[in-house]
Amino acid sequence: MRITVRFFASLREITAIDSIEIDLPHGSGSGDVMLALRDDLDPDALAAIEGDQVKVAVNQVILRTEQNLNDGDEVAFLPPITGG
Amino acid sequence: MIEVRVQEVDFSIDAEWSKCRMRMAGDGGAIVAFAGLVRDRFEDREIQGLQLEHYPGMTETSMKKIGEYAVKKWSLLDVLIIHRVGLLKPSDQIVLVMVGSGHRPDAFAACECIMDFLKTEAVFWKKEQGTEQSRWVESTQNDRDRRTNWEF
Repeated sequence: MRITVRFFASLREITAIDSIEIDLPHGSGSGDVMLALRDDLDPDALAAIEGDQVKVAVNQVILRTEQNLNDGDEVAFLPPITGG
Repeated sequence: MIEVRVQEVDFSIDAEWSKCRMRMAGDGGAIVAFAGLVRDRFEDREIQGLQLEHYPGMTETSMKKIGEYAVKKWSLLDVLIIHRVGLLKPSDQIVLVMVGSGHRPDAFAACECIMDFLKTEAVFWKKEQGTEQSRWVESTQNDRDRRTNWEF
């Protein structure tokens, strides 16, 4: 199945990726996205997206726990937010 | 009654104020508005600009939730939240929160609450562009404390 992965703000800068499409086996979960990206990202970028403050959203909803993915899902890595 | 907008272009407080009055018709007794501006320095660093980005869709949803929280907590007639994105310069307007109500206490409180929530709950990222270096801004402990104080 095809998953779109997006990085925002500081994570887009450090990964040099705005959006990328990856193929995952059916039955994959949100945690498998990270594993799939390991070969594409350097250690600094990997450490950044694995940071404690990074939130992961699937189809624009922040995950509280691991979640199974479906074909066409969008997974986003979000560094700390602030508005105003 | 709750309107949220994310836009690159500037906003006119006068125009939004008039529209808020019209929407409330004769029921409105108070409008409170807050506009946030880009400062030209942070601590001892000069700021030349502020780059704001958002996640289209998720950002508007986060703003709407903040408005809904305020509407549940206070008696409000009208809530408008406008947040700009793109490259802003010192003195530019960043954000507008405008709240209409029958009476001033609810309008004052809701406007302040919405702003405090925007600091910690709204899906935006801000990068300060300084003369020597740039840095991504994060909410402060004070921002988080102020937001927590509104929980009930």
